[in-house]
Amino acid sequence: MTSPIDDYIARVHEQPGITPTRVAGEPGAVTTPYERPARKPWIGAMEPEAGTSPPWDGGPRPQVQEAQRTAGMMITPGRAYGFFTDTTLCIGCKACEVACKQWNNLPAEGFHFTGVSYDNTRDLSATTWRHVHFVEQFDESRFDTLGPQQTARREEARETHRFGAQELRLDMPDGQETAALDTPGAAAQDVSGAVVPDGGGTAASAPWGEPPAQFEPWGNLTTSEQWAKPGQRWLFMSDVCKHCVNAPCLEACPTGSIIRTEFDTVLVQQDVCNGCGYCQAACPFGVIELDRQGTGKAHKCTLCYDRLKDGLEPACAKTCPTDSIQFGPVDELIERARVRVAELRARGIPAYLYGSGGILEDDCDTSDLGGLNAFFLLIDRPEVYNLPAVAKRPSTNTATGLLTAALSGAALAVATMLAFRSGR
Amino acid sequence: MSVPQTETPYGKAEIGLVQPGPGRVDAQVLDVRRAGQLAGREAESYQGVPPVKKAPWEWYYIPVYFWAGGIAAGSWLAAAAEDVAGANDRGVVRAGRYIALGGVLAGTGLLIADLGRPERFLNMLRIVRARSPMSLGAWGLSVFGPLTGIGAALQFAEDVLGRDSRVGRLSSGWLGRAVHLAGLPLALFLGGYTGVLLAATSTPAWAQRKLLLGPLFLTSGVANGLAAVSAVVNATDSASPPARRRLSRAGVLALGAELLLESADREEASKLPSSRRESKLVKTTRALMLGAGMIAPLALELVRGIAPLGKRRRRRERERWEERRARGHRRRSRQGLLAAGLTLAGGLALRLLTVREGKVSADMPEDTWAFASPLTPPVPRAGAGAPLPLTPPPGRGRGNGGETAGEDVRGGEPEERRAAD
Repeated sequence: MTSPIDDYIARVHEQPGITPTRVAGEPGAVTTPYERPARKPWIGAMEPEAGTSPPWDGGPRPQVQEAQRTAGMMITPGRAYGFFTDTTLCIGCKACEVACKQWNNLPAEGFHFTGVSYDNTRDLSATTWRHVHFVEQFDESRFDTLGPQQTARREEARETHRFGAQELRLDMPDGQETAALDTPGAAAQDVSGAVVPDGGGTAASAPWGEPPAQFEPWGNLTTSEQWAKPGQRWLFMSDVCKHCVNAPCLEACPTGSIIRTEFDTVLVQQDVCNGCGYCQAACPFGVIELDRQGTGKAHKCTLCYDRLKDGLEPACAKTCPTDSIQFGPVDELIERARVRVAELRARGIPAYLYGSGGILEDDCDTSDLGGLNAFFLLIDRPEVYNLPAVAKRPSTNTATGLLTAALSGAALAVATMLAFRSGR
Repeated sequence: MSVPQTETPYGKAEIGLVQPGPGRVDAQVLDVRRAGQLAGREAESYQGVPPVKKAPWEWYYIPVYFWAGGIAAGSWLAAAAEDVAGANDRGVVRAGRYIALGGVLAGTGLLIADLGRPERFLNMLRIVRARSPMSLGAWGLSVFGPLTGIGAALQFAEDVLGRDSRVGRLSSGWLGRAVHLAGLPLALFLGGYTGVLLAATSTPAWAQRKLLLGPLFLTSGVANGLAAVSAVVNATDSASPPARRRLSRAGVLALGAELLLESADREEASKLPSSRRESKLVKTTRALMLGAGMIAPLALELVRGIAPLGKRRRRRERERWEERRARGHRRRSRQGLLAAGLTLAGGLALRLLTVREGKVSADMPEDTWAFASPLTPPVPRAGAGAPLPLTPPPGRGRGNGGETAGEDVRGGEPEERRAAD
């Protein structure tokens, strides 16, 4: 019995112009297309080997795309494509950051540690087009059971005003805690909740003693319970260019360098941009940046335009291990997002969409921008993810400003003329 | 600022805090979470990182260009007004035309120098984008520039060949007037569009004042242009006393309008949190700008604009001036120079302050939330009454993690229903 993959390969090999590779020594046997030798690339090169199979007759080549495998669809120009980022699936692995940097050959921005959770990238920039947010939301009341030494350390951490002052890890309870527990009959509990009889042997011999009996880590809650309580969770979001429908950067660009591609994405043409930096001031999400020290031009996520043209899905979407970043036509993504939001809400998680153009957008409004082609599923207020709740379109201020400037200019000119006339 | 460094196989590594983005931070990025906790509510922001980026313009290029463009606009208006409504005093018109050309040339040079890729400056003229003030301004400058060139060329021909030559008569006659009037709308646009350029961004301090920044920059530009013409005319004694008085009166009008607009602007700016956290330097500069840059020259020009009473006195004044000119003796008016200098300094300070305010505002997350998130009230964190519909069902104690993991949380309900049955 042939497997589905073999059927697929057989169907592909039936197409005219496809030359199946033959394994040396096995006449008639074919391997999968992805095991072809390096000198014969899979997509693009259709030259048959001499004397092995019927030559290509020059007819239309079949459309086979890697995106069919990795994203489950064909990428066709003329449709609007984008991202649906389901932040509830993100695990904070940063594979998207790495894949983006690697595919686009972006330089590192300096080897430094921010001291902010696991986020050393900190912000989108001219050379960082994907950035994972690590939002720690741990309740203060979690630390009510701290001993005096722990409390003193937390106070000290607060006083040093570190960015995102980290909660201390509760792996070193001080001796007094242990002493309070050291009563006969007190059963020590380990973190999984199973009761361990106090044999006084191995447990007490650990140098840091036992964790306090009142200590209950958040792991006892299910995922839904965790997310439902904002005080006990970790939020991740992979930030990227939103590829807005009414992109402010595009509307601000005076050279016409920023365009909409045939995939309805927003692209900066690097051979046109002259580095005026106006797009950087216009973006309401702080995405695009002028690379003054480097190329002198503005850079941002291209939605892997070069990959889309060759039938590959964007690098970040391909590499995301949990499919938190989903690539596809925007209308299909919205449908998927609707289903997901309904599912999450049924489990008690306050999920909503950000940037879907009015669909399931609770307490946020991206209608001024016409919606975002790269939209998000969030479970807390937008400010927590550094997104504005009401994203404004700056170019609407142009007409207003020019109108008032024109009126005041006319009035000023008339008044000046009158002043000159009076002093004749 | 030297940060501790350590050697790694990949090179030197910095240990410690990092500034957001490769550029400097113009405002102190506060520990917003701590500040919010102190203020009684959790100040939301992703680790204090600004949600929008500030404009990447250097202080010595773009604000100075705004100033030069405003001067060019104002001096062209001065020349046009003197030609059309005044007595066509050649000293004023000459100063106006030359200063306008100088302002346009200086401004264009500054703009090109500020680009990341200056050699591609002509790409600004690839398209016309009506929604982008920068595109409109680039085109406006491209059309106004040649007009100022024509005006300056006419003036130069008139100066060299004399006022009574054919070219001189054209320059001081209908052709000069036509050029002035043709360039007037463009000049006013050039003076005011820079404010609109700032307003059409996502910087809260600028976008909040979208109605006022254009008129403010325009009136300031007109006042500065009049002051520049007045400075040249007073330094070279090339305009008759009545012409100087006309300049002073127009200057009074422009400065008065500028003061009014500036106070309205301050009112509007006070709606954002960044206005309450200004540095001492900014506060001092603004006070100086208002006092020495606007009010003092206003008073000086008010006095200078008053004509001597009586026809005979005025005639004597004019005769004295013409005698001086015939002798070749130039009398500098220190009062006039002072008033003009103060106005110019005030104009430059206004633009430097406005750009700085914008950069500081973009660096403050609270400003963006105040501007772009008016719907969302601060939601109290868990512990103050969770706003969510879910409560953990009873009976879920510790120690049952394996059993309950992954189950739907509403699994507790059947128990309650069974209990009710």
